[in-house]
Amino acid sequence: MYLQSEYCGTHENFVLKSSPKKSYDPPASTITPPPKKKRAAVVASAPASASASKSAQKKKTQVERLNSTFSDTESDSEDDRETKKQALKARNVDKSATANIVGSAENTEADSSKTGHWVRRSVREAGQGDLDNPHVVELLTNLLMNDENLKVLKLKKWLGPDANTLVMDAVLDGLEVSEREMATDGYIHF
Amino acid sequence: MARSFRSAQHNDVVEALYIQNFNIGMKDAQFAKLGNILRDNPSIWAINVGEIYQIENSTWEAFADCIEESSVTHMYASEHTITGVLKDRLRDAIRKNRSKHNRHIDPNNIDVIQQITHCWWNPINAKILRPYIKNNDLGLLGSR
Repeated sequence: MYLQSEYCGTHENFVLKSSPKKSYDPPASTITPPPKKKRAAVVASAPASASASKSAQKKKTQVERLNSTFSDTESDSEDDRETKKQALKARNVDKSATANIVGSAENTEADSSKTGHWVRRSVREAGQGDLDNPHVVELLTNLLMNDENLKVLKLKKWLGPDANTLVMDAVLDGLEVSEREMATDGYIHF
Repeated sequence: MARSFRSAQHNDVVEALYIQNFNIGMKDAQFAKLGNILRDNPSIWAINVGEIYQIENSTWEAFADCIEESSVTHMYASEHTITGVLKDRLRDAIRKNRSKHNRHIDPNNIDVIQQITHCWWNPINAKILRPYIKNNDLGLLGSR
């Protein structure tokens, strides 16, 4: 006699076993599928109701699978719950640390409270990569080195028209004056 | 009498600055910063801020205030970005600034002066510089 417990190795079939339906399923070794051509003919000749019942069965198994997963989570032991709580606490610690770095703790907390998920936000400011452009680096270096070739500084030779505000700020910083006092040369009259 | 000035620690080489057509990078904050730099850095005496469209009128007014206190003697700004009144104010300011220094008419600075073009009034057009302009460079002058 065929034993159900041997056949129902997978979780899905285990659920099927516990269902009230009592239908005999032959072992897999005894099933001999028809050749491909014949199988296609069988499928074509089968009535539409048969295919509909198959899809209904599939849906049933999906629903049962979901039920089983929920039942698993509900049946977690207390130890598992404690470990989950500890993991959540660790997440909260990470969240506060990131908020300190970004400087927008309120935003981070608000986002996480809305969605229930913590998502790592990039600290890097948008457009910061343009500062690594070799032309920009060369220009800033020349500005800091007081290069004589920059007496007439035409920025369009160094930067594209799509240069962002970060790049422009960096260039302006290179031109910015400090509080260092210096005697004027003969050019300036008063 | 020699006076002391706040001078550029990072850069006191730049004499002319061309920042035209940077609409993404030049916003109100950057433009205000530029005005402060021009006011505090006496080495810059020519500026081109044409084709910059993202600037508020109030920022342009503040910029004009800075120009009045700066050493800028020659400049250009697109007329369709500023009012006619503001343009007159800017031109008056840079004309007054021409008494603050003589780098724009110094024959020893002719190499730089020749490169400064596309201003409302180019420094190479100064009559005092005519004897120092080579025949090859006469094309830099406007209508003679």
